[in-house]
Amino acid sequence: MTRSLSPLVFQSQSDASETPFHRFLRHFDWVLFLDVVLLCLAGMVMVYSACLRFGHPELYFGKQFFAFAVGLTVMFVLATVNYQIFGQYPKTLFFLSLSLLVLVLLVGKTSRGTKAWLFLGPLAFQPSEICKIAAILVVSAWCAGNWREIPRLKGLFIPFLIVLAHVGLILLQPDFGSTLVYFPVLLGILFTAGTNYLYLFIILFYGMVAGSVLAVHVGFSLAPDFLQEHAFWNFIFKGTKIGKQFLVLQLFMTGAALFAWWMARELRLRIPGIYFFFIFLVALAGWSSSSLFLNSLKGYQKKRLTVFFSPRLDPMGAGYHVIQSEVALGSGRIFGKGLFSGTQGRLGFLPEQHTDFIFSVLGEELGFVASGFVLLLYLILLWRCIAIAGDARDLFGSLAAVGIGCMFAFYGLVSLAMVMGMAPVTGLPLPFISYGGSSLVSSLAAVGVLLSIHVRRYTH
Amino acid sequence: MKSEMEGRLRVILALFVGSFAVLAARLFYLQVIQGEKLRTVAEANRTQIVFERAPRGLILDRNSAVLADNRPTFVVIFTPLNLKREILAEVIRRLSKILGLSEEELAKRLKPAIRHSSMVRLMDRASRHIAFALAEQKPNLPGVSVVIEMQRRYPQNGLAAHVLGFLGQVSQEEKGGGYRPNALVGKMGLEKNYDKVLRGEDGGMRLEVDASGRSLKILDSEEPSVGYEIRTTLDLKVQQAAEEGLKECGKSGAVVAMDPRNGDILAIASAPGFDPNAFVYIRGEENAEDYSAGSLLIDPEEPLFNRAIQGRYPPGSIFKIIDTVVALESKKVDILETNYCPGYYRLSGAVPKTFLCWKKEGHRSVALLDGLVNSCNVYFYKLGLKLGPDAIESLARQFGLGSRTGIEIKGEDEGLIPGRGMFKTNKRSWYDGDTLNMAIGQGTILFTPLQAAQMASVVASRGKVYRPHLVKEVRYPTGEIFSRAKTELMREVRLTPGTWDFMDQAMTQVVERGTGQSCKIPGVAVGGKTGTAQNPHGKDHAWFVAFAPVENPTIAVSVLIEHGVHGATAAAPIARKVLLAALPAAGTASAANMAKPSVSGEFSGD
Repeated sequence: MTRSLSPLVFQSQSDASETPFHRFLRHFDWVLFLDVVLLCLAGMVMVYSACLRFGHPELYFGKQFFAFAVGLTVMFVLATVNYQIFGQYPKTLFFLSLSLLVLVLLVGKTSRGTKAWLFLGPLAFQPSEICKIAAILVVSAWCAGNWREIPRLKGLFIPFLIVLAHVGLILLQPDFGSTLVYFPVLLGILFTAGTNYLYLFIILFYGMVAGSVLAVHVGFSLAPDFLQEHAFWNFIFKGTKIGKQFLVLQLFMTGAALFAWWMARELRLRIPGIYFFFIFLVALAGWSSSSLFLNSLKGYQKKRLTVFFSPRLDPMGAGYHVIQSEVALGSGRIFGKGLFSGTQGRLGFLPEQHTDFIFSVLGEELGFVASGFVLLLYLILLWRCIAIAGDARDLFGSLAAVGIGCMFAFYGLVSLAMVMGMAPVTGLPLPFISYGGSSLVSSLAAVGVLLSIHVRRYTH
Repeated sequence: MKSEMEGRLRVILALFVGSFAVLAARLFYLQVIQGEKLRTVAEANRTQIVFERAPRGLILDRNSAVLADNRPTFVVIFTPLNLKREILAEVIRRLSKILGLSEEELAKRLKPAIRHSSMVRLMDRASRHIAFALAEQKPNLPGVSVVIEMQRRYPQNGLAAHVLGFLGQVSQEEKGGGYRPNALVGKMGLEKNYDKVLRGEDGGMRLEVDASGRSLKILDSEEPSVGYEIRTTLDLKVQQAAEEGLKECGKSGAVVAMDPRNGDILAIASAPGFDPNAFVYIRGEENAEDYSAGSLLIDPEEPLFNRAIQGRYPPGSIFKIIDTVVALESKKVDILETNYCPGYYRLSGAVPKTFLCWKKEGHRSVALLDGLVNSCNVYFYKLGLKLGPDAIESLARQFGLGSRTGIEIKGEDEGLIPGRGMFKTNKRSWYDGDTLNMAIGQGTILFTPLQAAQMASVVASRGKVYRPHLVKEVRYPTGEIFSRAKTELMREVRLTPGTWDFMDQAMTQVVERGTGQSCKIPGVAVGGKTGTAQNPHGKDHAWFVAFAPVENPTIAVSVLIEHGVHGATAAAPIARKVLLAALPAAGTASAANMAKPSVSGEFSGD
C-alpha cells in the first residue's frame, strides 16, 4: 500500500522537537475519524426521527448520544494505547472474553428469549459485542505469532477453535444472529494471513452446502401443496432433513472428494495422503456444524431465511417486513419525503424502525441522495480498514485491521441488503446508525483499535 | 510475504467495493427507477378512503318528465372508538332492538370493523323511523352514526322499467371497470349502458391510517359530483298508454312506438313488467315485503325479460307487407291479376301437401290489394311462388329485418329471415313449402317487436331506415348539453313512388274496411296490418303494426300479444290507444264518442 491511501497525513517528515501529542495528531487518521463521526450523527438524527412514533424520541436520542459519548471516549483511549499490548497477551484476552460469555449465561438478564444482557448498575450491555472484538484480536495475535503454520491445514485448527468457543457460548444464550459475524471475520483474517486457497475453497464449499441445504429445506416446508403434488421434490425435501439421509449425502460428497484426490494422484500430481484425512475431517466438521446451525435456529428464523428468496410467499407474515422496507426506501425516491415526515416508519409499517430497519427510515425521509451518501461513507470506512491493514507496522496490526474491516463489512452488507430485500431478515444492526448502545460503543472501540494501528504504522 | 499479503488485501477490498456496488445498484433501482411506483404503494398504505356515494344523474322523458331521480336515505355507520367489551355488548344489544337484526348477526358484522379499527356500514337504507330512533339514543350508542345518502328512485314505478333498468351491487366481472367494492351499478337498460355517464363521481374523505388501521387524521375531503342527466326520446303519455293497454289485455306482450321521421323511440313496453324500486327497497318501511326483488328473478313469467327487443316471434301476416312491396316492384307480377282462393292451397310434389287459408270458405277471387286488406293466405302463397324466396329475403334484409336494429340498450335479438343460404349442408334444401311459409310469415322466420315497428316505420317514411334510439341528449347536471344524439339514417330502400302510394292506400284500407278495423280513429288516416303467428307451444301470437297519419306519419307502432290469438282483437286496440295518445289531432276527438267498431267473429281472424 502506498501513502496515497492516507491523504490527510499532515507531514511525513518527523521533527525532532515534536511532542508525542503532536506526532499523534500528525499521524492520526482524520478521514476515518470524520467518516465515523458523520455516520454516528446521521444515526442519532435518524434514531430521533424513527422514535417519534414511540412518543419520547428525545429519550432514545439521549441514550444514543450518551452511548456515542462513551464510545468516543473508549475510542480515544484505545487509540492512544499501543494496540500491540493485545498481541502480547492473547491467552489472557481469550480467557477474559470467554469468562464474560460464561458470566452472562450465569447472571445475565433474559430479554426476548435471549440471555444476552449484563447489568452494571443502571447500565446494560451485551458481552457478545465486546467479545467479538476480543476474538478478532486473539485470532489475529495467534495467526501473527504462528504465521509459518498458516499455509498448512493444521494451522487452521487453533483459529477455528477460538471462534467455535465463542460461537458455542453465544449459541447457548441462544443468540444465533450474533454468531454469524465470526465466520466472515475468521475467513478474512485467515485469508490475509496466507491460508491455502484450496482450504478456503473447501471451507466455503461446505458452508455453502450447509446453507443451501438449509434454504432448500425451509423453502420446501413453506409450500406443502407443492410437495404433495410432486413426489420427487417431496423425496428431496425429506432428504434435506438433518439425519441419516443428510449423513449419507455428506459421505457421498466425501467419497467424491476422495475420488478427486485419487484421480489427481493417478495424474501424477503429488498430493500427500494426509490430505485425504484432513479433507474427511473438514467434511465431518461441515456436517456437524451445519446440524448444530440448523438445530439452533428457531422456527421463525428458518422462515425468515427463506422468505427473502421470495417475500411474496408469505406477504402478511415473514415477507411483510421486507416488502414494507422496500416500499419505504423506494417511496423516498431521489430527495426523500423530508426529515421527520416519512410515513412508512412513522405509521408503523416498518418493524424495529429504530434498529434493524433504520436505513429504510433514512432512505424514505432523505432519499437516494442521503442513502447513497451513507453507502459511500461505509465504503470509505472499509477502504480505511484495508488501507490501515496495508500500512500496519506488524502482521498482528494488519490482521486485526482486516478482521475489524470484515466485521463492519459483514454487518453493513447484511443489514443493508436486508432492508433492500436482498438478504434474510436476521435482525443485525447497522453499525453506527442503528439504535443500541452496546453496538455503538463496541463499533467505536473497534475504530479506536484501527486508529491505534494507524498512528503507530511507522517503526521507530 | 508482504507483497503476497498486499495482493490478498486488494482481493478483499475488491470484494467490498463489488458488494457495495451491488447494494448501490439495488438502492438506485428501488429509489430512482421504482421510486414512483413504490411512492404510490406507500400512499395507498397510509390512506384509507371513506366514500360518499354520488347521486346518479336524472333520466327524463322527451318533455323532461322525470323517470328516475334520487331521494335521501339514511345509512347507519359504525366507527369503533376503542370501546370496552361491556359497552360494546350493550351497544350491540340496543342496536339489535332498533335495527331489527339479531345480536349474533350484528356482532359478526362489527367484528372486522373492530379488528381493523375501520368504519363499517351497518345498514344501507334505513327507514326514517330507524334513523329517528338512533338519533334519540345517540348518547347511548357510541360509535354509531347516521348519514344521509342519495338513493336512486323511480317515481313512475314500473313505467318503462325495461328501458330504465335497475341497480345492483357490482359483480366480480364488473370490478375491473373502476368500480369500488359495494358500488351500485346499472344492471340493465339505460342504467347499465349509460352507467359511466349516470354514476357521477363519488366524493369522500382520505384518512391517514397507521399499520394497524387506526385512523389518525383527515387528509382531505371531496364533495361527490352528480352524474350527468339523460333526456330520452320516450314520451311519457305514449309509454303510459302502451303499458295500460298491455295491462288491460292481461297477457304477456310488447309495444314499440317510434317516430318514422328520425327513429326516436316514443314508447317501449314489455309485459309483465316490474318495479325497479324493488331492488332498492328500504328496510323497516311499510310494504317492504311487496317489493321483494328476489321473487322477480324466479318468476316463471320472466318479468325482467324485455320482450320488445329480446323476444322473437314469427311475424305472421304482418310479413305480407314485405311480400306486397316485392310484388309491386317486380315485373313478374301483375297486381291486378286475381288468384282464386278456395280456402286452401295444394302444393304438388312427391308428397302433396295442403296449406290452409285462415278463412275456411276462402276469399274467392282476389287481387293484390284485397289480398292484403283481407290478408288472404292463398293469394300470398301463389304470389310467393311467383316472386321466389330470394327477392323476398333480399327486400326484408333491406328493411333491416334479420339483423339488430342497433338500439342503445343491450341484449337485442337479431330475429331471423330465412333464405336459400340458410341450409349449409345437403341434408335439407329449400323447397317450395318453405317459400309458402315464408310468404305468410310462418316457419323459421322471426321478428322482434322492435323490428316490426321499424318495418312499419320504413313504410311510413317511404324507405328510410333509421337507427332506433332512446337517448335524445346527455346533459351536465347544470342543464347544459353534453352531447346530443344524431339522427342516423342507416339505409334508404329506394322504390318507385307508386309502390309507396299503393302501400299507404292498402294499409289504410286494412284499417278502414279490412282486418284492422279495431284500430280505426275518426279523422285520422291510419295504416295498419294485422298478424297472427302460429305457435307450436300454445295459442297463436297476435300482431299489429300501424302508422299514422298516413299523409304525414309521425308515429309507427308495433304490438305483440303472446297467445293473443287474433291480431285484430288483441293487438289492434292497444295500437289504437297508443296512436290516440301520440296524435295531438286525435286527442281532441274524444275517445268516448267513438263507437268501438264492432268486429264480427269471422272478421276477427287474420
